[in-house]
Amino acid sequence: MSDDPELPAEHGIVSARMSGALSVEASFERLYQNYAPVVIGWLAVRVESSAVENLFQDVWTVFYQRWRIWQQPPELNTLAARPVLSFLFRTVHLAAKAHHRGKQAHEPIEGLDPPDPGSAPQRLLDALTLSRSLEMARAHCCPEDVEILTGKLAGVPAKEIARTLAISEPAVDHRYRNALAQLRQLLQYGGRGRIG
Amino acid sequence: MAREMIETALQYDSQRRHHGMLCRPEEPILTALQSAWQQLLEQASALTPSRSTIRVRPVTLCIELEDLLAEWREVWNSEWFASELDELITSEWTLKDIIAHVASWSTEMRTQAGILAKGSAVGYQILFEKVGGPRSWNAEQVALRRSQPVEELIGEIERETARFQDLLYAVEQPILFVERPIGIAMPGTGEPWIRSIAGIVEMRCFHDRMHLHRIRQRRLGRPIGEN
Repeated sequence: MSDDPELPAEHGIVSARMSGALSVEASFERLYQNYAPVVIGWLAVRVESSAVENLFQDVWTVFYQRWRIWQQPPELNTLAARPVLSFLFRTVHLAAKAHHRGKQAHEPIEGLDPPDPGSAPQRLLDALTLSRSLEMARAHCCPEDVEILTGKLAGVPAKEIARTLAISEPAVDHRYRNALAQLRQLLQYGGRGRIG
Repeated sequence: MAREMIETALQYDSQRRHHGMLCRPEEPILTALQSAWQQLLEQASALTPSRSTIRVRPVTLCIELEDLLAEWREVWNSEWFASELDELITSEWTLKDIIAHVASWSTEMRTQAGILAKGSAVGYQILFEKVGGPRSWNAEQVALRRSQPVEELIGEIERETARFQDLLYAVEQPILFVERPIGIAMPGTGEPWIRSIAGIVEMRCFHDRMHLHRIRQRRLGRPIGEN
């Protein structure tokens, strides 16, 4: 792993994994340490708190399976690309979608595989609270706009947000600015009602 | 501009600023959101399990299939795709033939998974040659679809993937992991492959991604392998 403090941690870990300096397992653990809170944050604003813990493990299961066969296209081998963060963003998006699909199919996801009490605190996410501005975003913005906001806050490149949501990059920027404007108005007027 | 007009404009701006209408548009809310996000990450850091628990569930299999579809849609929706449909990608198959081939396996794998879900045995065998895999079955299935427009083939992949996802939620979770003989076998011995429904999802993803990779290589003008 590079010692250059300017390099994003992801870049160093991925490079070390691709060169063989870090094993699959060791590099996975480092990426988990780096990004687990971000994944929790994304899920906490997108799904009900009772679903976060299982979906969190699902996202890391999917990532682990991909990480074992990870291929880094040369065009993503740049400091700004952050392909792992982008992959996790995309997987959280798909996990939330699959979760809602599962609910619609009347198959209770929770309870099928209760969290292992040895590996995770009980009701992990019950202890999380969202600050007012994030709570407002969740309450007043459409789910995709919340994804755009939280993707941007975590540093996911706009191109990858656009790819995940199957919209254009200018549309991401436009909706990001619109969502900020809506929230600014809400803050000014005390957070009452939905702004059109 | 007359001095009077400038003063009027400045006065107007001053009133708007006084009423909070001229603050720089994004700064306060952006700062608030960044701070809220940081607080959330700090809370999450304290609550994050020290290790991840890797386990496959219907939802993880569903995500894999959905990710696959998303990757296909990127290809289908590109301008390049429409212009290259009739171009040879391998020595035998055009791009459209490859889509027909993927459609045939989307249907076949979902069908076999459905048979396993009922606890039944697959009553036929697709022979998988050591070199070239199921050549005759592949050729037959692509030929069957050759007259169909590509939109129908894409529709088949979308529909069959959705049906596979529905199946994953419809069966009891342990059944997803029960390994049984499937309808693919080695020629000569006729020995069937052993797979679970989850294993069929893995096969489907591996197979589709191999073709996606080749299509992307072709798009980038890089050499690709044969089937």
